[in-house]
Amino acid sequence: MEAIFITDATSLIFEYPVSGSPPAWKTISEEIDLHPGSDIIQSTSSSNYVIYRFKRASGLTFVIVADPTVSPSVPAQFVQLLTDSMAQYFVLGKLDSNYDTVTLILSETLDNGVPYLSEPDQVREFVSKGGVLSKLLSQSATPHKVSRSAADGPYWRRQNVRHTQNELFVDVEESITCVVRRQGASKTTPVVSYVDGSVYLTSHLSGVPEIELSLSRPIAGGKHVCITKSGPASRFRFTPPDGRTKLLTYTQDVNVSSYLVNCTFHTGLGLQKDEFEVRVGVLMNRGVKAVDNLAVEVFGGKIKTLRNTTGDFITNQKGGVWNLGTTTPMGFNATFRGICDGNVSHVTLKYSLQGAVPSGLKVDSVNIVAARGLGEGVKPYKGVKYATDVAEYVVR
Amino acid sequence: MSDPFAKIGAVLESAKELTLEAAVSASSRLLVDDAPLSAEEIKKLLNARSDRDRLAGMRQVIGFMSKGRGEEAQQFFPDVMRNTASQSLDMRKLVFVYLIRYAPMEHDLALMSVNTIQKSLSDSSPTVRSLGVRVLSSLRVPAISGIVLFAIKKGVTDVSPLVRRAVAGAIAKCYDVDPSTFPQLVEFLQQLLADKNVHVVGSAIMSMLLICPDRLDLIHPIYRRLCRIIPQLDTFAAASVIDLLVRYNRTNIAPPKGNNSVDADTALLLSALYPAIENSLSPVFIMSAVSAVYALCPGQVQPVYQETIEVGLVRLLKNETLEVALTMIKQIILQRDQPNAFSTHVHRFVVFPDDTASVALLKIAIMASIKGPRQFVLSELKHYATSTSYEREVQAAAVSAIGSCASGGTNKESDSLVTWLLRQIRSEAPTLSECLTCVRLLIQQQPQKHVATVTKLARIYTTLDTSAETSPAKASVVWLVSEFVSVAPEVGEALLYSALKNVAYEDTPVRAQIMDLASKVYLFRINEVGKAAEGELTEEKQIEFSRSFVGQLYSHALYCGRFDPSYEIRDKVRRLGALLSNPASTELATLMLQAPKQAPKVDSTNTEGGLELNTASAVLGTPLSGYVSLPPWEKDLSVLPDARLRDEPEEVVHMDTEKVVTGISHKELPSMSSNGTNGMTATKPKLQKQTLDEFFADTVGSEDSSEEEECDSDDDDGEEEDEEEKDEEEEDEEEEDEGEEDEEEEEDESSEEDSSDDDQPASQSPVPASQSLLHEENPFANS
Repeated sequence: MEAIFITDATSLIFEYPVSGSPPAWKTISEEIDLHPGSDIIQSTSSSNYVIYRFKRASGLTFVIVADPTVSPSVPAQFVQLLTDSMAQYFVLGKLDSNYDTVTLILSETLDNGVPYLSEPDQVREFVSKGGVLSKLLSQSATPHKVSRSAADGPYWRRQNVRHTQNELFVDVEESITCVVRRQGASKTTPVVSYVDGSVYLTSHLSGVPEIELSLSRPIAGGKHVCITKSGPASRFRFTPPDGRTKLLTYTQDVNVSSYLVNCTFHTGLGLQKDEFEVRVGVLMNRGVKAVDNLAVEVFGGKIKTLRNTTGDFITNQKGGVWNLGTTTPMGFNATFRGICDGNVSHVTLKYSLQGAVPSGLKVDSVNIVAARGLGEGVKPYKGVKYATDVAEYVVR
Repeated sequence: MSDPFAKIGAVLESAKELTLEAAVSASSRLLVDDAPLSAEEIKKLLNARSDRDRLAGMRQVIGFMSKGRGEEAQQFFPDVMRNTASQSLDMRKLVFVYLIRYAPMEHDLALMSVNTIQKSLSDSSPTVRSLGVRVLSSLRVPAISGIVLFAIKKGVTDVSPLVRRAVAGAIAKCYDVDPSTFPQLVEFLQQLLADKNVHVVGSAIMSMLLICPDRLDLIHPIYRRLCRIIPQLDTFAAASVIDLLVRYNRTNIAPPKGNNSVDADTALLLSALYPAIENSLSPVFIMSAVSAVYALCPGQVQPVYQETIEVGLVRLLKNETLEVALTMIKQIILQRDQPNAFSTHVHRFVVFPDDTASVALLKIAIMASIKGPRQFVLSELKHYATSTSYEREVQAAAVSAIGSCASGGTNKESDSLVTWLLRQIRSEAPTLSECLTCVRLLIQQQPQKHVATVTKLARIYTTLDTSAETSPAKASVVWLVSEFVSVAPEVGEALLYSALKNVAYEDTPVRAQIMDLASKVYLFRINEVGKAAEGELTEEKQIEFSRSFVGQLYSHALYCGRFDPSYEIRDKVRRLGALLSNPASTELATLMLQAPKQAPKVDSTNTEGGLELNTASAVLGTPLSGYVSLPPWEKDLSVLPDARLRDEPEEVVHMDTEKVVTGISHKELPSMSSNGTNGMTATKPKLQKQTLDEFFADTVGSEDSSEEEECDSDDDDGEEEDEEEKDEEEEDEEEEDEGEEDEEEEEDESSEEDSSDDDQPASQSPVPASQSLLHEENPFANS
């Protein structure tokens, strides 16, 4: 890799030249502006650069300039590592007061332009938490001691983990991808519908623990390096890294269009046949208290509101966004009626909720089966959380 | 929780953390966000007494560097250098980052710090030593290459793997600065390649790829060990190792024999790859492994593994790796000639309205070439082509994809698609030009079959009103019919007849095309006359012909054209008239008007056909600088190095078994031998138990306890293990235990079969990817 740039919506906020003669941001940003539709760009200023752009949910955009011989998945995975590592130290939005930490992270993760570490917890071992200043403020902190010999345990786990409060959390998160076709008055049929699930483990345990996790059904998919088991399984035994880790991923076909929140729309209504109506409904569910940040985006053209039962409708060039508030109670229905000067082509739905996942996966148990260095009689607090959000939900 | 003191302690601890956090945020606000300090103030801070002030100053300097104000940061060089020996490790690291950045500009001053760094090479802490090696080698000052070389020499035998790993990285950097050190460096590299710690080996391989990627002879003694440790390496290193071993296989190992067996050493590598593809979360690892499987397996990949590969790649279809994974999937389908691939995953390629253009185009290309549920694919493609949810570029690609489906599909499917395309021409679709291009290509490919299509085209003309919106469609229809006058001359005449009636009311481009149509129809007929008279086209014949139906139509068209308001058309008419009036120039006119036009070019995005999987060149569709394709298999068995070179001493075989916990174990890989139908055999060496003594002989210098773990080869959930814990004489009096496990199996997959006739996968020619169409020089590409 030749250089790494991080920008927010408007401007460059961080740069880290890697090679001896790094490209200038000005040149790179101009080339990116020429190709708004692609995220991997062949540089025209120099045949030795390929520009990779990664837009992250945090609002930051990472731009990595790499040599053409670098495999294109390397920058992708490196950005993942970088954001995961940074998230251990500060909220990503506060990058501009943590230049020193980011610089240290990068100097540890890259050597000669090549990734040197691959696990965020390894980074923790070399870059102290809380920024460099806090180290100095707390003079009492134990002297920096890092000694790793081959026998100190798995490489993905930092040495000498110490926590005053030992905790263990499992988060099951699923994100919905769903495209539905309208059919008839109030029906929709899914074109495609599945969930991408991830099981995260947040481990704050001293020493080197060994954990056994058992799920309600076997899942197959990607597994963190700490899990040696291959193929589909429902019980896993492993030594986790410290902190929050993506442990398992899986994908399942579930009809999510009828799951808790449903949405449809009609066009060609009214006398002039230029009106449309969008309906959203939330079903009841025992485990879920409310739906968060429910919003419907309508695409088609300039929109004039006729009737709106709940929430705000904000119009824009391509259509408008109908925000139904930060929390929406269960068993809720809302309708929006408006006039669109074009034809409403599709609407998209966004929401998130806590307490249930569409696939119904459950954590049966999570136990600490061996705990070197945890201390006698320590009973860590354990918790499980389920959360769902929407990656893509298109009604057309 | 019975101990109240522990509770109080915890409360105090968290209170302390809170205060610290507050202090940090306060100080960071003070130091970074507030009015920037002047250069003088920063210099003062850097030279201050207290560590705290100096660190504050350093943060300011780092701020300059991170904000693209490098020139301003450079002025502090001497002041920063004074902190090279700071007590604080963090401070020192920041100083080193600064030093590495500016040393090339400030050679002389940088040299002053070398002494301090050199001292750190003898520090008691391995972290400090490794940092010293890394910084020293990163300085890129040729004058100190001797010192760097010395540091490497010393570090190669360091007790800490952390330092040896840093040394492995330093080798590449040292070579970069001073290539003359190469002979010594290779020696050190050789030592590190045989290191006991797998991470050191990983780094050494990465350096080897940078300084001597062609010295594959260095790999002979460690080939089998490398295959075994792949699961234990961190994923970036594992990917590099895989890439290297693929090249090694191609040039140093016997190619797959016929279609059904690979060398035992190739099988050893393959056996490490499948679990990775199935289980890994790392995109780098999965993609390297998949491309390695395709590079090594003869012909078609075993059906058993094809599914694993598909699932593994589909898993990458999100976020950062979406485009890269899509490219690879598309390449596998097209280039590897595996149209059945991914047919069960076709739903994953549905295009979302907010996909970027490049992602949408890849998805469409994949959907069009998948032999999956056609119904689903076609209805989706039609939706993309017509819905306003998608960008024009995407719509156009969808139409082209439909065109390629029509030319490749069954008769029935093809007919219905042609009808659909013709219907698009009728409407004022934004994709008009693509629809026309598709229709044109279809007719051009099979002119006899598509006479009816030309008739339908002509009929479209009569159903269109005369208005500004329809004129591009009308003009295009006339152009298309005129192009295919030779296929269906009657249709051309009929269209000319009906078009001439209203010619005065048409738009300029339509009128121009009608003139062309007239001349083409005329030319076709008069050539027929000429042919009938065996090439002797006399003036009498021509005059006689001009009284025929076509002749009269033609002269009427010329007459109308002469009074056209557009001088362009008047000009055209004059030219055509002059050209066709003289029998001597009909030949020239034939060349001009009936020149065979090239079929529209195929989609340019398919040109990556021959590029290797998993390269940036493949993603961008063009070989970039530095692109090298894989070497072909070495066919000449006599030049291959002896396989015995890869034999390894007994102790090496067991070297890495103590750390099997660090990766995906081999033991659960899908058994190749189960696939008995295609004649595969796999010999499983007996599980060997390692004695404690052997184990101790191998570990680096750590005196921790270890115990053996016996694994049944068919174990599933509950691994039986005896655990034994022993207190350690470590600083923290921590209990340590180390699971140790023998893993040693499936060394020999002696043969492997495939079902294709192709016995040289290396030189597999890519499918000529005429899967989609691109409009050529259609005059009505409406933009």
